[in-house]
Amino acid sequence: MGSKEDEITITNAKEGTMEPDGLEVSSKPAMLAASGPQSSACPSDSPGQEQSCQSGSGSTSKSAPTPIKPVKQLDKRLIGVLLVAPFVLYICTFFLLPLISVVSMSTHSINDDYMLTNIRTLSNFRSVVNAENLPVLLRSAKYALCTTCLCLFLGYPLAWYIARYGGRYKPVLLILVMLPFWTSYLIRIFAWMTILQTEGLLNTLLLNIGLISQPLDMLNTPFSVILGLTYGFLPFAILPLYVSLEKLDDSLMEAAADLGAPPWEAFTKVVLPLSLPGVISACLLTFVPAMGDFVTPEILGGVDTMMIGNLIQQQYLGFFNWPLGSALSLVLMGLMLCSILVFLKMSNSMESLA
Amino acid sequence: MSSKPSLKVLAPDASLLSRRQFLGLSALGLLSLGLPGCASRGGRNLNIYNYSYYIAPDTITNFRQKTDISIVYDEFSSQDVLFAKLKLGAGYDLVVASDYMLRRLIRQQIIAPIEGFELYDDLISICKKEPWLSLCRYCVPYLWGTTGIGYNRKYVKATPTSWNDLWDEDYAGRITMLDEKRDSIGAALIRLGYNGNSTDQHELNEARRELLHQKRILRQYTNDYIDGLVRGEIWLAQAWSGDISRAKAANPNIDYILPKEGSFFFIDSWCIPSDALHKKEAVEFLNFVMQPENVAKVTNFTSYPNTISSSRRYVNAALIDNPLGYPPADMMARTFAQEDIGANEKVWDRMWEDIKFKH
Repeated sequence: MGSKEDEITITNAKEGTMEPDGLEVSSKPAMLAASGPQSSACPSDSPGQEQSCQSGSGSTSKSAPTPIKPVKQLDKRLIGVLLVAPFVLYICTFFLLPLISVVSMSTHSINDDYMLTNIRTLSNFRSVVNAENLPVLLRSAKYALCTTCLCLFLGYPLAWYIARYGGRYKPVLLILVMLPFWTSYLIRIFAWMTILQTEGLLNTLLLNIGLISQPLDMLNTPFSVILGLTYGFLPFAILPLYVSLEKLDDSLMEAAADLGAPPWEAFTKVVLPLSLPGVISACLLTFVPAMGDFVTPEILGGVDTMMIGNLIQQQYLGFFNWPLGSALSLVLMGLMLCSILVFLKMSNSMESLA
Repeated sequence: MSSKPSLKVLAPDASLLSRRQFLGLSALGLLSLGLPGCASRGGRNLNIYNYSYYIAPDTITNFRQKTDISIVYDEFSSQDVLFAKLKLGAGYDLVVASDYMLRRLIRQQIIAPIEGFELYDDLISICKKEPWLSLCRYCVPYLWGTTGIGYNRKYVKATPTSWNDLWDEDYAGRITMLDEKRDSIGAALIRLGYNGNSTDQHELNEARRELLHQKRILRQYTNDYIDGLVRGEIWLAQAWSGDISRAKAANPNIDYILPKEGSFFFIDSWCIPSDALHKKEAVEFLNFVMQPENVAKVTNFTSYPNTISSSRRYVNAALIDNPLGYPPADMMARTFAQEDIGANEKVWDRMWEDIKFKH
């Protein structure tokens, strides 16, 4: 969605009908543009353009300047196809093909020697949809939910601060938020290991300032896993929140204050509803990857913190049961898809309310 | 290999990495699947794939100086990654496989018989008896070791003697078991007085109950315990002998015992994949690395005993009659191999999955 909008903006630029609004949006990271239909740049300057621009807002004003040089509709279509082609090719090779092979793998059966046989079966799915798998699934959902809540709780004030008080330091502050991505996730999680261990940084610090008398046992617990997940996915929450808060009109809050709303009420009745699209994207961007994560529980987790991602990994690498691993990941994908749809539905109904 | 450079940064002391590193890294290793980098064109090449810390630091350099063969040397962290890579044909000419994996590789014809290895006569006596005698057609036994208990004397006052000590509630939250079904389920079986390679459903069920009982007081199922032991995070660990040697070098409080009920020994072997392009060069390397003097250097560096009997005189005296290196004969008598359990592998897998994830 995001990249499509960018491409459309570029088409416009070529035709010399660039609008200032469009420019602003295209300069934002493509990922963020998904935070809400408001952000989509859809300069409706020509009829041909309107069709390919899938904006949710639908309101199209006819006041924009007409193109200086009208281009034949066919040419435009061709340009559009050419612009989309690399992306479609990419998706087909690196998403669709692997997905098809995973689906195909999930219907295979294996013999006693863990070699694939030609017998097709649905028994893998039957063993996935099994009450035994429920504890792992619930645990993963619990951890992912905690992570999402923590990310929102920590990310919202920060995003608010950057968006409202960042001033000319905004870009610097945003770079600081994204700074962790410059290092491998694995290394950062290992760093947490040295921070959390019995003789680690945190325990030493707490002991030295006299807050605790015995070192805390934090590593290899659900706490350390949720902490690691929150740390890892926090930037994914901050960025969409920032985008939705940044475009919030100051005058709305002034109006709320003028009409006698105390700050808290102004926040709950004006700011929060308007930033909901950002909150929804933040939820999606943290919950979905946190649910499937396996590196964090592997390194920071203990004996009872294994998540669904670890189970899938174990099927692939530990037991060489690729069909069952594929079936597991497909079911997980299905569940994720359902939760995304629910989120999006919520997001739509929220917007109609707001 | 993506995991190697990053690890150096992470661990203050890189030597504290286990022979079999943890799975998280192995999955990343899998991401880098592909052909090992092509060395110089025209010349003779050899692509080797071995456990990390499973060769002497100068073995490769010395071999390079003696021959015109250029070597690409990659390291893996667990047998799972090795299997996945071999299955997909990653282009290696010489790999190291553990015993249970070896049989699977042979059954699936992933590895080919080895011809031209000159030192078969010098192998230790275990390798001259069945089942190793027939396995040796496909492999050259390299290093071996035992599974036992590593512990930190600072926290564990009474010297452990038995597998029971890994079930000791006094050390709740400080005990780890290996994340290898053959070792962990095997230990539970041995503790109950059964065969550690049992395929009897009743015996396995009992072992399962014991492991679930133990899980309440367990910290982790992990192969990455060296660092935790050294730092006092882990007090008692089901462990491999050579790993504890390295831990002990970093922290003298660390020690190792072989449980009185008995335990496993393992032999890791060199194998040549069926699709290897440089089989001749691989055998040439084998004839070099297995020379008594050269393989003794590997033993002195890794603490894992080797399979060449005449290399003993080059091995550090401290490693002889030491449970961490070459255990005394009476201890060795209590250890046995992890046998091929054939079709029962699936039963063990399901049981391990159940224990590890579903409770």
